[in-house]
Amino acid sequence: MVNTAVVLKQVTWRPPHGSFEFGPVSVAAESGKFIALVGPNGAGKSTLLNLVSGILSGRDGQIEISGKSMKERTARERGRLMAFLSQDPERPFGFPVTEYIGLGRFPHVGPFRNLGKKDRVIVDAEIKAWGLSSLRNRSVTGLSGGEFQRVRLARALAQEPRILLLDEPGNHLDLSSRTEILNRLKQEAQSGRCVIAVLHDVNDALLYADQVWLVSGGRLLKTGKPQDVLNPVRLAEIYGVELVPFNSQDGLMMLGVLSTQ
Amino acid sequence: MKERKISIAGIFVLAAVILLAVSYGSVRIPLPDIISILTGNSEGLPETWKLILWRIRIPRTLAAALVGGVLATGGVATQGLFRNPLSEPYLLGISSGAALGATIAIVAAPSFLSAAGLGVIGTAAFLGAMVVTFTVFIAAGKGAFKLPSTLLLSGIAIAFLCQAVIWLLMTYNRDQVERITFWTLGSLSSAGWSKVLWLSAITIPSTIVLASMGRVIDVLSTGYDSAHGLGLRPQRSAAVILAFTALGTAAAVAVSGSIGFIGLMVPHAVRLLGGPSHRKLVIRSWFGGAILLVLADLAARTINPPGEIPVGIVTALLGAPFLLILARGKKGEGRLDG
Repeated sequence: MVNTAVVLKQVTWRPPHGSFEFGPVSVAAESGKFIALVGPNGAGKSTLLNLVSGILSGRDGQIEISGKSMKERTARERGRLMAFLSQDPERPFGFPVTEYIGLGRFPHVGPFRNLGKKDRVIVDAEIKAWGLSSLRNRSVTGLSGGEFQRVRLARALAQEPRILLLDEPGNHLDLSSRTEILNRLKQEAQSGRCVIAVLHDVNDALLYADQVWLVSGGRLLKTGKPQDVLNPVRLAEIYGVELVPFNSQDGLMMLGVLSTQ
Repeated sequence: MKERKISIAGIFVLAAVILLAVSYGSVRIPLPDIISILTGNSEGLPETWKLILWRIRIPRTLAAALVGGVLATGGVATQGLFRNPLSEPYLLGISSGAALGATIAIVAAPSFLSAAGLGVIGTAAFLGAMVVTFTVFIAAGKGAFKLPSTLLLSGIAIAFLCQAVIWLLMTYNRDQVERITFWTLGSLSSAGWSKVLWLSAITIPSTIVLASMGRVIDVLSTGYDSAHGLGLRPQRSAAVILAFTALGTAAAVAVSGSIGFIGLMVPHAVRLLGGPSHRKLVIRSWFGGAILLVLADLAARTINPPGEIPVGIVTALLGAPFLLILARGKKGEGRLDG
């Protein structure tokens, strides 16, 4: 059993234009862990996620997925191992919810076969798990932001990935949808998947993540337990915002904004 | 079950519409006599009927079906790939390139340019379509599929360029203006058996490829990042699909001129009837486009006999109100506001 889901070795990347520089970053993500990427806008969180997903080309260094170099994997293998939810998704016009979630089976089924019985069972289970039964035949174009985000997550999980990459999964969502999503992601991590998510709210990271990767200026500043990495003094330096710690009901440290400096 | 019914209905309606189109025209040939002639029992029937059927109406009607079918499947592919309900295959520069090629041929008449049965103008139109489409892709650059608006913009820019050159050529060749205009409006009046063969050889394989890649188009229609995450190489898949779309459309335009609205309209209508799954959409739209163009061509040559209206005018007259209805209705379901 491979325990390290994602390994980055001396990864650097530079966009074709502009002065931004990412890396060098070396880090490993274990299976069964919920990892939160935290850091200011433009720090390189999405870049890191896009590099792991393989969308960004032209990097230096090595990335391994489930024990094998990314370059040795076919696109379809990659699709079976790893699901990726980017920000600002597009909605294919008129696609019904069930069929959209069914696309998650594409890397398993391939381009020429129809979904089999097993695939339908998986899709149905996700529809139930996300409370989407009443929306089954609705077009994804007509859904609310929260509904569509749950549909996308259902699709990503129907992919049965070992690695789940999410760019701000709770963005634009109300408190209850966000809590539902984070709880489910935590569960998925506990069941053995490696979940790597960009989270903007440091308190979400403190409450849900097993590990935090703190990203700033294109580099990994610190990795480790959320309570250690997200210390108020360090964050104040990065964000330029004064933070005060307080305890949640479970005795976990959380952070409140005191004032901007 | 319902699925199969729609497909079978498509075949029957197309067959019926073809018989209708073959029967009507400046000379009316009754249906039973058509069947007699087709099955070889033409004794006692006028020899001219046989000639009209075999030489003119059957090839022309088949050409209409093949052209309409491939234009509609091209619309499915481009709308899916560009995630834009207003796209159609002509936006790739195909029709403007074909028009430019045809105009040059009409003006300069380089008689050495004549591929199997297409004629000088048709061959020039096909070459023009391919060259200009290729230019559009090059101009759009590497990230063309990632940001479809780049490709669409470069298509539109190059279309304007082609149009400017066409107008320039028209200015200096006033005597050819009518021919050029009529070619651009689209017509099937010159379609004979050699063109039917040429169309079949290119458009049928390209439609089969597009239908077999239907699920890939499904995945691509969810966006670049998403398609990549689902295990595709989006650029590569999109390039294959667009190449076959361009090839099929160019073949059609070379035969018939740029007949508008079919590529835009038919996929929407079929999507409303039978859902957005692209494999089915490609096949059903092929039938939809074939049926529509056979009917439109029938109208074009029978409304005011013996004269003909360019069939492109008929499809535009049908298409515009259709689009307005489509844009106003169904908005809640978000079919057009993709």
